[in-house]
Amino acid sequence: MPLRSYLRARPAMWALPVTTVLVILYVRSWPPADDEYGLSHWAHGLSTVYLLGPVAAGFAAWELGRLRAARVLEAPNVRSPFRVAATPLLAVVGAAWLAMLVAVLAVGVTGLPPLTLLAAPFGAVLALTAVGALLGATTRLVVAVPVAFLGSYLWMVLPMGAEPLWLRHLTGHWSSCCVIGTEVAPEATVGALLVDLAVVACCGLLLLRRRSAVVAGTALLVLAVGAAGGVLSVRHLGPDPVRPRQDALLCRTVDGVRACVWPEHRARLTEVSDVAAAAANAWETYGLTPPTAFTEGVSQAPAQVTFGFRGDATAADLARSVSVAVLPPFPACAATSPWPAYDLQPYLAAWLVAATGLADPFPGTEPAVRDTVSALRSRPVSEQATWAHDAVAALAGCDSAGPAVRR
Amino acid sequence: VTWWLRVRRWRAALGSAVVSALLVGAAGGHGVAIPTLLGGGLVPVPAAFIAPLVGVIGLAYALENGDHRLAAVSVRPVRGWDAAYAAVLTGVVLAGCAVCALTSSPETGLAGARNTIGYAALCLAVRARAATLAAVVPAAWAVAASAMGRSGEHVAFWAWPVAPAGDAVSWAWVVIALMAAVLLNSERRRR
Repeated sequence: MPLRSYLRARPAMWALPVTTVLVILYVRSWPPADDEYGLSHWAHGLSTVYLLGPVAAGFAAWELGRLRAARVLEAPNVRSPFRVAATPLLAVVGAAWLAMLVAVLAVGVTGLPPLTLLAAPFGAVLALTAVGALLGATTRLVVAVPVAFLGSYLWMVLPMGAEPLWLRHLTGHWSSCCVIGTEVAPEATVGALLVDLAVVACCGLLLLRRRSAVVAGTALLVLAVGAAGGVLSVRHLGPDPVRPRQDALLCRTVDGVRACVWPEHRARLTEVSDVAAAAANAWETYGLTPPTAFTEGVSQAPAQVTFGFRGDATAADLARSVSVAVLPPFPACAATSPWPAYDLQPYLAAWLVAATGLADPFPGTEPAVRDTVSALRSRPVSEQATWAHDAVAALAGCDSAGPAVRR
Repeated sequence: VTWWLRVRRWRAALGSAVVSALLVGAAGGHGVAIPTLLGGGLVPVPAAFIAPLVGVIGLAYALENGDHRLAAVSVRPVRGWDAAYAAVLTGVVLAGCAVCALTSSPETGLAGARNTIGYAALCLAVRARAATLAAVVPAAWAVAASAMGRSGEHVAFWAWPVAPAGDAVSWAWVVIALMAAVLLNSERRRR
């Protein structure tokens, strides 16, 4: 029976389903980077490439090692050696890709991901399979399989804890992608794909003409160019392969205060905009100038502030979030000189929340903050306004320790 | 002996053992962040726990060479030489573990030594039944242990490659692997 023979001859066909069970265990036991963001679910499922890629590399080495031991590739064939080698390798790659998609389904994804996210892990499987195939075709099975498996595994996991931080983007193992305000940076995809394509081309050239110095030199040149291109593409990225999200925000204006949220928080837009407007009105009674817009995206103007919340946040959580958002940002001078007002932040944050009247300002705060702000709130509005103005001014610079009312 | 050493690829085998020893000695105490399948993100595994596999791959390669049917009927004690050869190569890697123990952490060096002996014994045991898998099984065991054998501070009973040096069960696994290696290789000789 052809199918039975095929399955018996291809250990990847029965071993990769076992690996699939393991990766399902993996994705189900560890939450995505942001469990309310569809892209994060996809990235979580696709991060199983760190295990499936090395397994595919090991099986590719096994398959090509068998062909090498039987001298099949050197024998006169009706089909070209490339096609003979490609048949088992395509089965390995296909099984690994399928296992990755099963892991994605196990996470519970919705919608389709961008190609920028899909391309890198799928390309990584292809590249590692090519490396395994080259090892299998050139060295003994006893060495090729463990070296392909272990080497690929270390390539996948070592950069995660190594510097420079952008090195990890080249592997296609993007487990830290993406929180709700970010999306995959195209540069990361380009970098990973350049490395993958260079590896595939290098291995392909070496497989086709192993004993030619010219081909070997060309293959190494291709690899070096691909690696350099990959590095140039990702080297300006931080620890995550992301950029600010480009989607359209959903906005609503209440009493001149605009609130903008990501589509995932569409259901909370009305409540958020009401809370933002109520908070802004409350702060105005103390003479403060509230922002004109609260956005989950990147702030585009000084009068806009960035805030964030989870989809299951309560109204009190929203009030705390918009209050913390209006704290003065870290001043530039603090990078080079002392910032005496830094410890005012929790006091001002608690006062801002209390001033909105929408939430308990003190859950989890230190007793000193709670006592001080409680005492402050019992004073006349004018005194509170003066304190708040002084605190905001002090936090915005490095010249003053701010009002004495603390601790 | 000269020819036997050549057939057993002593340069490649010794080279891999030296590389393994250098890796263990120089970087054995450094943690390699490895994702765990049981949740909890990345867990650091000392390089000394994994680096001995380089030497074991060299050992498997060296012992696979030669005609084993001829060796089985040889007048010379080839089996004994193979055992001594494996012991010497393992000893080279153990020297790296000693350096790691002296310069980095005694516990990490000791655990690295345990893993070196365990991987080598497992390699020899598997080699008696399936020579091509001799190095695959220790490598797969090490990866499986690092990926699935730990959850927080808890180490599964079978995950000896990532257990701390003071874990008695992990040493028991190594003893079992050694006994299996001796028994399985002796059995083949009788045949």
